[in-house]
Amino acid sequence: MKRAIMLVTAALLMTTSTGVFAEQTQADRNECLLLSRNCKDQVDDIYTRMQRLEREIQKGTRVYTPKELRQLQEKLAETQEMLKDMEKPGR
Amino acid sequence: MSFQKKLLAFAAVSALSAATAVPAMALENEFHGMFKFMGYQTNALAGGDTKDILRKDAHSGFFAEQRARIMYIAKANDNLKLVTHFELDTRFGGIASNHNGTAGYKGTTGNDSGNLDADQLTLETKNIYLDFNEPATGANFKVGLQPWADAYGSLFLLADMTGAIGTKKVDAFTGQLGWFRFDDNTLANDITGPGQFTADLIVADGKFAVSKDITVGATYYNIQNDTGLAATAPYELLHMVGVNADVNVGPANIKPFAAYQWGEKNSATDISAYLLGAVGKVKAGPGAVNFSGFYLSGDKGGTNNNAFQAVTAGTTYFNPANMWLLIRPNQAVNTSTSLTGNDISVGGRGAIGVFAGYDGAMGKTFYNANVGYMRTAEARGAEKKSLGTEVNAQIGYKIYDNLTASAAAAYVFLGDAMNGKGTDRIATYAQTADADNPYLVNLQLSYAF
Repeated sequence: MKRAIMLVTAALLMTTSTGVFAEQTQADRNECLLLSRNCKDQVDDIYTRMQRLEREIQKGTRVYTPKELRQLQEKLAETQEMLKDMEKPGR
Repeated sequence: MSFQKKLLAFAAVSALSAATAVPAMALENEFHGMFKFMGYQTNALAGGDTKDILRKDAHSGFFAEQRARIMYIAKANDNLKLVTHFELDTRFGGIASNHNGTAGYKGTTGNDSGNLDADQLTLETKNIYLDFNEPATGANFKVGLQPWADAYGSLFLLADMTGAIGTKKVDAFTGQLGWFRFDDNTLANDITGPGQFTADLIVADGKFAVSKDITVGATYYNIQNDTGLAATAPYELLHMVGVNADVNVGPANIKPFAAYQWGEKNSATDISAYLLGAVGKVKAGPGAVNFSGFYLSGDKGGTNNNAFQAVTAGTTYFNPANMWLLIRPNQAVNTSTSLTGNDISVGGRGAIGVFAGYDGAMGKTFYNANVGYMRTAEARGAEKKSLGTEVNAQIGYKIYDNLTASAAAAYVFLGDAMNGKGTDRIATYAQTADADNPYLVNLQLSYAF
């Protein structure tokens, strides 16, 4: 019985003290809930997508094959066309 | 193997195949969109799409409007996707059909939702089309309600239309063949059978990249209008052939183009018309100098028709002009009109337009200033030719990467054809003699994602 009480007390102490002793790190903060940042399902907005594609294209043949570069360029052109279509004037 | 073990093995295999099959069925859901708020102080616009306000002692007032566009793309993979695109337009306070708001209800007129307590139907469909690459031929196909623009600065046609278009690249050559049915007035139960009262556009487009800096192109467009309606297109048959180029020379990019039209307005009148134009951009200092111009052939009136033919005035644009009033603005949302009600060929008189400007950016600030002049190509009766000279400027600030705020001002010094005192003015556009010079101040918030 004494042993059981000691065990339960130790367990309780451990669980309650964790918060006090643990140092709060950036990783523990849920930035998705707090700042709508670093969300698991976050997707690029259209400008970020274009910037990222441009950055990848600039890496050139050092990183990509000519065929892959063409693919990236086509995706960039497609995204630019999409933005143009969304901003098209007219009723 | 016992029955239980067989069952277990079967379950394990089923689970494995289900797990491996999932990636093939996965969809990439892509959402994009834009929102624009526009506030206008002006004596030239009221939130509609008319040119009825140009008159003497024109009143100046303020109105505001907003537009949202939402695009959802269901992407199976890089070779197959469904594109959907919707629009929601609202004038602040709603658009009424009369001053006491008793006829109809706000929300119907102008497809609006700016009335007290909103709650109106405003969702407009822009595009719904399938976009796929056919693996056997390597050709790309777009089938459904999609946007299409001509190769002539949209002076002929820029519109969302139902149709199908195929594109195939072979080395430096890109060929395109398309068919659009932009009007069909055949009743669903018509005894004539299907496809009798229709208007079709056929497109053949070829582009050849001569070098890294020079691309040349040729096009053929054909419109067969069997609707019998001038509002669909003001002719029965139209052929249009044209050539265009895209040339980089040092810091300059120049895009010249020319096209010739022939066909039949009706059984009695033939069409013979043409257009010439160019768009250019030269890097200079922290920005670029823009210039553009066009010549649309016109007609003095009578039976011989030499006027350049578009499809409808509402589906023509010339965005490189960077005008706010002479030509409809390229930033416009719901209020998308010009002094000639978007009729760039000025009721068949033809038009000459020359435009120049400078745009640049400094950190998060961007700016542009432009000047443009337009006149008719031909004068009818005692009418004068000069439509006016516009000067405009805009300054903006990037609040975030994808949110900008800007202010613009535009002023037009009307030409004799617009502010004449008698028969020298074109009465279709200038409602009274001695019309006031139109102006606007535009405040804008623009978000795209």
